[in-house]
Amino acid sequence: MRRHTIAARPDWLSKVESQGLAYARSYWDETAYYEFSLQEVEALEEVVAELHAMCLEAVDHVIAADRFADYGITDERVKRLIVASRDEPELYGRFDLRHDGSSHARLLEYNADTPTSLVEAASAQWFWLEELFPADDQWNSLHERLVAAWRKRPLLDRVHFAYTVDDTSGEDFMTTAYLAETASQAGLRTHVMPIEAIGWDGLGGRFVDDTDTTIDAVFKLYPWEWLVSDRFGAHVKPGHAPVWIEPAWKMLLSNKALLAILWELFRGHPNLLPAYLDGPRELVSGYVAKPLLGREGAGIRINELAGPGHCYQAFHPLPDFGGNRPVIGAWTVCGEPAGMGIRESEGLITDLGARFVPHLIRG
Amino acid sequence: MSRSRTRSRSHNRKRALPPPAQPAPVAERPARSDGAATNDSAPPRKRRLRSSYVILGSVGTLFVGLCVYGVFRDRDRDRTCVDANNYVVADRECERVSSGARWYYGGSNHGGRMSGGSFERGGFGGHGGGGS
Repeated sequence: MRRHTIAARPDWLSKVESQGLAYARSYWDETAYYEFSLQEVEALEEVVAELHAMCLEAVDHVIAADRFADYGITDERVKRLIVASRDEPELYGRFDLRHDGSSHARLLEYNADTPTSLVEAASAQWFWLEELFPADDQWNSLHERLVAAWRKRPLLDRVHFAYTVDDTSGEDFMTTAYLAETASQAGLRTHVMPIEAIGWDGLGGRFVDDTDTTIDAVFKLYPWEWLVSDRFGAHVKPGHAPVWIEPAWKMLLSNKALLAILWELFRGHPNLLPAYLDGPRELVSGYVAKPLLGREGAGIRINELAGPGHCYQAFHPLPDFGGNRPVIGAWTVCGEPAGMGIRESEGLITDLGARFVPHLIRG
Repeated sequence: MSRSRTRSRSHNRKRALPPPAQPAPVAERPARSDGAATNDSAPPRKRRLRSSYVILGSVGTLFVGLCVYGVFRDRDRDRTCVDANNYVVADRECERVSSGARWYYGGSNHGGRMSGGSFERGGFGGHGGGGS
């Protein structure tokens, strides 16, 4: 794992914007790239596959042992939704890993419900490689795998894709539109719309779209914890249409309580960091307090006690590559390793100010 | 191959890159769950980890549309704040939790009362960006 600096393409902004990265101006950074060997990437692939299998085991454990309270889930209705959805297939997710190229990659969190950073990983960095380094490779089969994932769901015909208009950056909309495009390429009918425009037909007991058409299946870039707590959340019932993508059981992966459950089940695993829900325990010299449902690095505190609803994870600073601290976003599609995107920040917490830096595989 | 890709890029509407003219590279290792195949009679070739194509369809042109039409900012379009009987009230009433007012989507105003709109809407949203 090496970081190189390079001159950006003169027309980089218009190019990456036209490749779907509407929010590229202060985010996409091609003045640098990371180089990996094939062996390094294959090792990361194995880590991701193993982590995902462990996460599924954790989900089944939480359900079987009724550990929902550790996640802050006390509503019986939400529990039933999770349990009833357990057999529904997943689409995609992003592990955030601390990796320096030499020591074990360590899981920081799993964005399994509403992951973004997808368009840049699947599209913009792919086109970047094709233009600048076509002889090299990239850990990035996201596009092909997403198209294939939709093809594996023959029962779906028309799928709605819902984003929230509250995200003014354009990232949620473009991520949703890109996923709709992959479904369209798999032969599905798609309709992209704001989640705010979803309607409820009380007489028919159905959700409708902005043209009053019944919603049979919906991909929502909208967290489950919001969905079930909203006014319409009462209409979301186990075993009833529509099919929600991602399924409700992914609530058990996108919550930071997962980190503590994993450490409990797989204590000492080289790709995990010690993590607890009841306090930092032996981590007093270095820990990070993460809100169970925090997003984009918000609310994270280093070596500072927090109130209830936090997970305490051992603090391993992100590696330093010339003042730049990368975090590896390792993607899964249908539970299988599918690619990588790297975000860099100057501080120890990767937040909304992070930059996306492309990567390649050489040798 | 690279030349044909360059030509594809020049099309604004359909940003399609054709699959490579050569057969997909063959895995160096035994068959994997990702579907990579092996061929015993051919010399081993390096495994390829990137998509052989990325087709963006209309995604690449959406950004321009967003800027023109203001998709994100225009969350107030086509909605009216109404009371429990669909009478129009001030928008600020819909921002007060205990007011009993709600947003009515679509429809038209007849004598201060909204009608012709479709089903109850606005039951999701209001939290900020949903991505992570």
